[in-house]
Amino acid sequence: MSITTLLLVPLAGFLGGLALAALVPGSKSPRTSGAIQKFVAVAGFALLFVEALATRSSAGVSSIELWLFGFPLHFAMTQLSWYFIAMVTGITLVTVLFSLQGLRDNGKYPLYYVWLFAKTFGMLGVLLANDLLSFFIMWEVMSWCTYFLLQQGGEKSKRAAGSYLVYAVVAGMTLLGGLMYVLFHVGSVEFDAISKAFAGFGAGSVIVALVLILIPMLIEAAAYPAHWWLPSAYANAETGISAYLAAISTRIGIYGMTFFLFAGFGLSVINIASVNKFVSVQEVLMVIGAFTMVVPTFTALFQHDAKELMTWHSIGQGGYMIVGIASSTTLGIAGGLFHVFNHMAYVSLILFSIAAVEYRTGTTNLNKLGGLIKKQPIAYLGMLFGIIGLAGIPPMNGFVSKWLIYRALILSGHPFIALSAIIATLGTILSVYKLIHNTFLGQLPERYNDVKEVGWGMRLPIIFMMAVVWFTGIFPGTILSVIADIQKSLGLEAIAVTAHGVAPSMGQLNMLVINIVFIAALLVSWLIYLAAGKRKHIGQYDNYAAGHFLDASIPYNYNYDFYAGMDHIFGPALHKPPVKRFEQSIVAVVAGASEYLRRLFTGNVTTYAAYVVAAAVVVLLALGGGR
Amino acid sequence: MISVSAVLYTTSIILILLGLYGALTRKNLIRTVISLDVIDLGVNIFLITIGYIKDGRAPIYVVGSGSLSDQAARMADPLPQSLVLTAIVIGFGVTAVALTLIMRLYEKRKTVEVSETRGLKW
Amino acid sequence: MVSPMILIALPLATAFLIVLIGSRVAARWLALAAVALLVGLAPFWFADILRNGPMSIVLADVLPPLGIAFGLDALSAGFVLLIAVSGLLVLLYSVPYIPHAGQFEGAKKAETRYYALFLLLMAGSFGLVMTKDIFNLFVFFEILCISSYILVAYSQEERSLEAGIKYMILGSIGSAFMLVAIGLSYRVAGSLAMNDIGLALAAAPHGYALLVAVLFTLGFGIEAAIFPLNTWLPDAHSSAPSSISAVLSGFVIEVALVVLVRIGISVFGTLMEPALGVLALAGVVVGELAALGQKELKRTLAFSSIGQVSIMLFAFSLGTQSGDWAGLGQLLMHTGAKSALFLVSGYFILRTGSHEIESYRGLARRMPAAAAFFSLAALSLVGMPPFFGFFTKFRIIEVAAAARSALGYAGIVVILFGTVIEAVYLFRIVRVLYGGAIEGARSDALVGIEAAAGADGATPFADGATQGALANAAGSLASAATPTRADLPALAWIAVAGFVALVLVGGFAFPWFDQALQPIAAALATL
Repeated sequence: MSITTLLLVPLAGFLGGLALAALVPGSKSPRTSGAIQKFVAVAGFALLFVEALATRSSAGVSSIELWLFGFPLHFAMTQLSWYFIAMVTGITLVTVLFSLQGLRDNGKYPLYYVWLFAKTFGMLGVLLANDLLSFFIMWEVMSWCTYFLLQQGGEKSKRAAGSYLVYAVVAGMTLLGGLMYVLFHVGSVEFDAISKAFAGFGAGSVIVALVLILIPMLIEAAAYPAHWWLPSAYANAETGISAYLAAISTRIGIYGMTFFLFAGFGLSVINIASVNKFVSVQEVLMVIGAFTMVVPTFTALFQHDAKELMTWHSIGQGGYMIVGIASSTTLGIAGGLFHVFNHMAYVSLILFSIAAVEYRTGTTNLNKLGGLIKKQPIAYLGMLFGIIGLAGIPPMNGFVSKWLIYRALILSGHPFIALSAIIATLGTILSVYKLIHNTFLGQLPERYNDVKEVGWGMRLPIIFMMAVVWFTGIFPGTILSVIADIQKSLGLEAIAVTAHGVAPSMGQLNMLVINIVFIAALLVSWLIYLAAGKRKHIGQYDNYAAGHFLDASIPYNYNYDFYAGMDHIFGPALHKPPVKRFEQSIVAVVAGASEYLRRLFTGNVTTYAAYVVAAAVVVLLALGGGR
Repeated sequence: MISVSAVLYTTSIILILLGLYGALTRKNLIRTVISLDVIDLGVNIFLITIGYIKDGRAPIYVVGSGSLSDQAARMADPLPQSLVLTAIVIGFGVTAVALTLIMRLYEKRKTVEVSETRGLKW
Repeated sequence: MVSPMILIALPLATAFLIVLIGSRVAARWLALAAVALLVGLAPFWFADILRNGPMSIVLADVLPPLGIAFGLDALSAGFVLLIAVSGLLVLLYSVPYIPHAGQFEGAKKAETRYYALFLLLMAGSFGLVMTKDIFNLFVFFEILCISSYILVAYSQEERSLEAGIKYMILGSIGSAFMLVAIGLSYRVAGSLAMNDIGLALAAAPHGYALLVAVLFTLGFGIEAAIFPLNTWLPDAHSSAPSSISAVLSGFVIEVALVVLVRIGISVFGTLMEPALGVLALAGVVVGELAALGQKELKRTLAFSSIGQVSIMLFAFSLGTQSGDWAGLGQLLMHTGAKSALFLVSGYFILRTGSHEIESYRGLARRMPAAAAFFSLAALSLVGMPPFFGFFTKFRIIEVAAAARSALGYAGIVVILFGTVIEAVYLFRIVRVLYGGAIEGARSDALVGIEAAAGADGATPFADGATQGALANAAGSLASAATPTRADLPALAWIAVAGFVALVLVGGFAFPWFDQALQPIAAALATL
C-alpha cells in the first residue's frame, strides 16, 4: 500500500487544503487560516517523508494499478525512483519547516502549501509511473502544478510563470508526440514491451523516439538551449519556494533522462541510438551538458541579485549531472546521480541563507548588501558551507560528485567535456566569491545596523542542511551505496563504495583523510596568521577614494557592480545571447503570423462573401481536377 | 427549338451569378441585400424549373378525366412548387430582418456603406 | 412515451404563447418550464433508443416519401439531451443577465422576445438533428439562423448590429447555396429523403455529385464555421449577449457541424473528406493564431471556438468510427468549457463595462468564483489532466496517428502546436484575472515607480521602501477600481457551475462518457 499512500497523501493534502481555503478564507481570518494550513502542511509532508523512507524495502518489488482520473495508471517503486522520492519528500519537508517562519506574509500566498502538495503529487507520480502513458499524465499534472505554484507570488513571478508555462506546454506536447510515436511503432505503452521492441529496431526509429522523449526532460532540467525560462521563474518566487524549486523540481528532468536512457527503454537503447562514434544521442547529450555547465555559470557571474545568481548556478550544475549520466559509465552515472543529491543539499542551504538575509534586510540585491557577517553569523556559515559544496572544493559533498564526474569524463575519452567542466568550476568559484563577499563581507551599509540573526525556526533548517552538506562530504558512502544499489538494479556495473568514498578498484577516494588534511591545513594557516601579528582593525569608513568627490548618489563601494570590468568584456555576449535572440525570434515569428492571419478577417462583408465563393470554386477544382 | 426549361435554367443561373456579383461588388448594404434577393429569385426559378413539364397542368386530381397515373404523368411536379413557396416566405423573413438591422445601424452610425461597417475586424 | 415531436412543437408553441402574453415574468417562467420539461424527457428517449434502437416518427399518418420524415437515433437523442441541458442552463443564466444586456428603448419589452427567439433557436436545433429530409433540414436551418441573427443583434449596440448584418449576409449566401444543392439533388433523386438522395447521387456522374456536395457542404458549412466560411463568427460570437455567445459556441456550431458530417458521410460518401481535413487544419492554425493577437476577451474566445471546431472537424474528416468518436468527445468537452467561459465573461463585461482583457486586472479578488470557474474551464480547454479536455485531445491525437496518413500526421503537429498557442492566450487571461491592479491602471506616477523597480526583472532593485510604495499604490488603485465584491448572481452561478461540472465529471468519469459516446459515434455513420 506504500505507493498508494505516497500518491494519496499529497492528493488529499491538495484537495483538503483547497476545501479548507474555501471554508476558512484567508481574507477573513488570515491567522486561523494560516495556522491550519501550516499544521496540515507539516503533518502531511512529515508523513510523506516517513512513508518514503519506510518504503525502501519495497523498491523493485511493489507495483500497483491505480484508477486515478478514471484511467488505469501503473505505478511501481524502483531503486532509482526511491532515491528521488526520498529527496523530494525530504527537501519538501525541510522547505516547509523553513517556510513556517521564512514565508513572511501568509495572506499574500493563500494557497502556497496547497499547490506545494499538488506539485509534490505530480512529482511523485512522475517518479513512480510505470508505463509511458502514466508517465505522461503525471508529467502534465506536475507541469501545471509547477505553473500554479509559481503563480503564488507577485506580479513578476506571475509573468515568469507565464513564460514557464510556454516551455512546459511545448515540453508536454513534445512528450505526447513521442508517446504517440512509441505507441504506434511498438503498439504498447508498457516499458517491458517497449524495451523488447526497441532492442530490435534500427537506429533511426529509436533516435526519433528518444529525441522526442528526451527534449521535454531537457526542458524540465533547463538544459542549455532551453534554460531561459528558469532564472526569472525561480528568482521571482518567494525565496523559500525558490530553494525548493531549484533543489529538486528541475531535477525531475534529470530523473527522466536517466530513466529513459537506462531503465524504461532497456539498457541497449543508448547503444542503438547512435549513427557512429561521434554522432549519437549520448554524444549530443554530453555537448548539451557542456554548454549547460559553462554558459549559465558565466552568466551567473554578472548577476546583481543573489537569488538570480543562484538560479543561474542551479542551471549550470544541471550540466554536470547531464554529462555525468550521459557518459554512461559507472563513475559518471554515480557522479551524476550523487550530484543531484549534493546540489539539492547545498543549493537549498545557500538559498535558505539568502532567504534569511532577505527576511531581515528586505532585499537580495548584491549591490546593496554587505558586511552582514557579524549580524547574521549562522546565515553566513550556511552560505559558506553551501558555496564550498557548490564550487566542488573539499571537504564538502560537492567535491565528491564532481571528482567522480571529472574522472569519468577523462576515463571515457571526453577531454574537451572535462575541460569545460573545469572551466565551469572556475566560473563557479568566481561567482560564489562575489555572492558571499557582497552579502556578508566588506562594508556594512548603515541602514543594516539594526539587523539581527533570524529566529530559530529558520536557523535550525540552515544548521541541519549545513550538517547534511558536511556529513555527506565526510561519509559520501551513505549516499553512494544507495546509488550503487540503483546501478545494480538497472543491470549496470555498480560503483564500489566505502564509507568515506570510492574503493581503490575504482580510483581511490577517502574523504575522511581529505577532511583531516584540509582542517589541519586551515589550522596551520590560522596559527601562522595569528603568529605573524599582522591584524589591524580599521573603521568602516576609513577608506580611500583616490581624490574623488563622493556624495550619497554615488555608491562608491567595493561591492558595487562587482566584476564590472569582466562584465564589460564578456557581458555583451551573455546578456543578449543567441539563445535569447532565438527565443525572441520564435516569439516574433508566431506573433507576426498571428498579426498576418488575423488580417484575413478584414471586417468587410463583401470580402467575406468573396471567400465563400472562392472556397467553393477552389474546392470544386481541387476535388474535380483529380479525376 | 429551345425548350422552355432550358431558357428557365439559363435565366436562373444568370440571375444567381448576377446576384453573387452584386453581393461581392456593391458598396451599399441595402444593395447587397437586394443582390441577395436576386440570388434568391434565381434559386427559386431554378427550383420551379425542376418540376416543369411541357404542357403540364396543375397537380390536381380531377375525378373522371382519366386514370391517376395518366393524370400524374401530365402534372407538373408539386413538390418543388411547395418548396419554392416555403423558400419565398423564408426569403421574405430574412430580407425583413436584414433591412431592420440595417435601419437600426443607420440610426446609430448614419451610414449604410459596407466599407464603413467595419467596426469589428481582425 | 411522449412523441419526440414535442421537442419541436413545445418550444414553438411556447414561443408564440410568450409573445402573445407579452409579460417578462411569464416569458421567463414559461421558457424555463418548457425547457425543463424537455430536459426531463430527453434522458428517457436516449435510454429508450439505446435499448430498442432508433425510432422513426410519422407525422399525421403520412408515410415517407410523401410525409415529413423525422427520426430519433442515438446521435440525435444524444444531441437532444445536450441541447436541452445547455439550453436550460443558459436560460437560467439569462434571467439575471438579460435585463443588463441591452440599454435601448423598449428593452423591457424586448426581453419577452428574447425568450421567444431563444425557444425558436432551440426548436431549430432540435429539428436539425432529428430531420431525415433535406428540405426540412433547410427549413430548420433557417429557423435557427434567423433567430440567431436577431439574437446576435439583441443589444442593439453598433457592434452587435454590425455583427448581425454580417452574419445574416453570409448566412443568406449559404442558404442560397444549400437551396441550389437541394434542387440539384431532387432533380436526380425525385425525393427529398436523404437516403434516396444518397443512392441517387452515388449513381449520378461524378461531377454532378461533386457539385451538389460542394454547394451543400459550403452552404451549410457557413453555420458550422468551417474555415474560410467562418469569417462572421468572431464578430457574431463576440458581440452577441454572452448567453447567446455561449449557445452559439456551445451547441449551435457543433450541431451544424455534426449534421453536416452526418450528411457528408451518408449522402455524399467520402467525396468531401480530404478537402474538409485540409480546411480543418487551416482552421486550427488560423483560429488559434488569430486568437493570440486579440485584445478583447470574447473575441479571443470566439477565435478559440474556430480552432476547437476545426479540431473536431479534423477528427470527423479522418473518416473512421474512432475518429468520429474522438470528435464527439471533443465536441462535448467544448460545449461545457466554452459555454462556461462565455457565460463568465458576460459578467466580467458587465462588472467592468469593458470588453478589453487588460481591464479585468485583479478581477479575481472581486469575483473569486467566476475567476475560478474561468480557470477550470480554460484548463480543460487546453487539456490538462485530469480534465475532460485532456482525454478528448489525447483521443483525437491517437486516432490521427492511427490513420497513418500524411493528413493525420500533419494534424498531430498542428493540434499540438495549437495547444501551445491556446495555453499561451488563455493563461495570459487567467494571469490578468489573478494579477495585481498595478499594471492595469497605469498612472504616470506608477510607471515611474515601476521603472525604478526594474520592470523587466534583470535586476530587481525593489528594496523595502519601494516595495512598500508599490504595495500602497497597488492597494489604493485596487480599492479605487474595485469598490465592492460582486460575484456571479445565484442563477448565473448555477448555470456556470453546471457547465464546469461537465468538464470535471467528463474527466473523472471519462470511461463512462467513452462508452456513452460509442453508440452515438456509430449512429453518426448511418442515417
